[in-house]
Amino acid sequence: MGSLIRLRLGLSIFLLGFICSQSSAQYVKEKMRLWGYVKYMNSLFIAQEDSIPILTDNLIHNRLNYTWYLGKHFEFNTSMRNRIFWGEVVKLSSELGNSLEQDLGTWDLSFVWMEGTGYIGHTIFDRLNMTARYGRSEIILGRQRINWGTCLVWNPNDIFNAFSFFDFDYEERPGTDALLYRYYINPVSSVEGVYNFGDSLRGSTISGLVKINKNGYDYQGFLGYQRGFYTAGIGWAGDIKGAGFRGEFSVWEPDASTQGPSQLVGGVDVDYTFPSSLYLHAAYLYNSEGINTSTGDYQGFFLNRELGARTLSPSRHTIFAEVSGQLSPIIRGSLFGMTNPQDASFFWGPMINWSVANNFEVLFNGQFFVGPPNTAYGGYPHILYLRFKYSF
Amino acid sequence: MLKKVTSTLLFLILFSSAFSQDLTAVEIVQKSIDLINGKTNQGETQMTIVRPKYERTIAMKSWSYGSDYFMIYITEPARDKGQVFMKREKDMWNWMPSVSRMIKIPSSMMAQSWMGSDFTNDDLVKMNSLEKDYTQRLLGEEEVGGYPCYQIELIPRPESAVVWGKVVIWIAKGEWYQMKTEFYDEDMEIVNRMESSQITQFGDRKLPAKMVMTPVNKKGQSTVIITRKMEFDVGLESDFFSQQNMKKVR
Repeated sequence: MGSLIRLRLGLSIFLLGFICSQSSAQYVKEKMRLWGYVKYMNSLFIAQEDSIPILTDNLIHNRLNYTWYLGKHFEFNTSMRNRIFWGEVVKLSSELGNSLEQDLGTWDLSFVWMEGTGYIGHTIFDRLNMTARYGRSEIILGRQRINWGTCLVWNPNDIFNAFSFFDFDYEERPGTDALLYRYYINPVSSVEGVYNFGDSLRGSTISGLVKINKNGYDYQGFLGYQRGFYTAGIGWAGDIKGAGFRGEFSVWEPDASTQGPSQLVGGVDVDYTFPSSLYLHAAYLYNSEGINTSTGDYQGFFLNRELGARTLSPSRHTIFAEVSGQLSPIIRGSLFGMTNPQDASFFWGPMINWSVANNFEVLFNGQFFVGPPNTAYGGYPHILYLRFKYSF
Repeated sequence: MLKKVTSTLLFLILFSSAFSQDLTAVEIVQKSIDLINGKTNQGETQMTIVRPKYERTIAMKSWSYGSDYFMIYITEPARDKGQVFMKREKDMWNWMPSVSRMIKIPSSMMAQSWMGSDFTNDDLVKMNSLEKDYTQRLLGEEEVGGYPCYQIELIPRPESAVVWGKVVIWIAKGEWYQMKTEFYDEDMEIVNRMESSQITQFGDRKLPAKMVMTPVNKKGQSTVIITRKMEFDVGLESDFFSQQNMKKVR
């Protein structure tokens, strides 16, 4: 595709977003629905070495979600993530365009439609699927989000999607190219089977999940095969004296023709909300393949590994804590922390989310990394984010 | 033997007189709850949080069955549209379609305010279970908003997990509208006052379309709930309140 045509395509996608934002305000029982947001975010990268100057980056980010209700049984869904990046970090990241252009799914739905020195325009369809429902059965075919997690920070059971806690600007999380069949046994229990297309059967993920609810707890269990490994897991979500109590454990075992380690990834998650809105949250993650020494090649951990449920953390043990609360009905403040007890390096980050008007919010987030080089959190630049978001 | 008979008789007399007085208050409250709920209902409501310097509006569609089952679909603001909350007896879930995520809500989250309003999640859920959580006593009669009302005092039962010290409610005689409710803390100081107005025809019955909850000690602050549409006895079964329907309702 010629670059000019790509540019036009990209710009018209943006314009479509703005036009639709004006018309989607009123609703009846919709036949279709179009919604999303426009965000502008400024990022400031502060390297830990004094010799490197502070770098800034900009991002305009438009999301368009579209649902078309086709009668009683069918539904078509798609979501576009349109982004324009520009700034000093983009200028230094010569490979950014190539890595964005690459779609990690079965279908290539990722397009860089504008690229130059220090700027990139990119669009990806991270949802594109058709749902069919009949009686208690549901089939979803296409790029979709398959969410098997019960915990709030790390999801070892979420074998189809990877998500990093630090990527807070991607609330929707990526999709998976798959065929899903789900059957609802009763109002709160279901079974489902998922086939995530790979280039061969060995390169695919296929798994079945059972979800039930008993005595105030949701329980789940799955069995499957993921790219050369057998996998199984359990998870739960419930309540202890009002506190949320959740957990997820997954194991991977190589099949006869796979070279690789057996692995266990698991963790628990506890939270409590006080009537004053004060919210306390703690989580723990164990990764049997994580680095378990006080210095190690933590940053190299991700280089030869695929991002996924098996690589949620580079360290053997990780502890997370959060304190949040409403500073007023329209301002929410949070403080997050994460540490590797093995090397005592840690991350901390404040976040302020201010609802300025019904559909407009401003968010400030800081990500600070503390520790010597070759530790889990040491050596990364500190990052400050300021984000404006208009939803429609 | 005689002693046993007299004590039984005495007990019966005492019990029945206490019971008949209680029953009146209980009956009145029950009539007002039945009027608001029907056996099942379906409607559209908007809630505006009023603060001295700003206002925020949340709108929703809702479905309910008795006091133990409900489903809420958020229609405004745009950011939250499509989110669904469901309660089945003691369990509650939140469906977030943007991330295809079903979150089980722990009970401590219920005691905090509902989306920043002057209502807690508990207020909304427990409004329907007054008979379970309170002992009820008829205090007298008083006119509110042009309607002669019964004035009833509700004292939380020791075993109930209610945050209030007491609740006083004014219910219109014969129409059974809940015209006014006052919430007191454990020191019996008034905390919130809720007032109803705009009696409107909804389906087969008339109801106040507007409810205003005002925290007594916070100037310029209130939460206004407007019922836009409401239908009663719409033939929902408890099976309607399912995770499958959380993903389908709109």
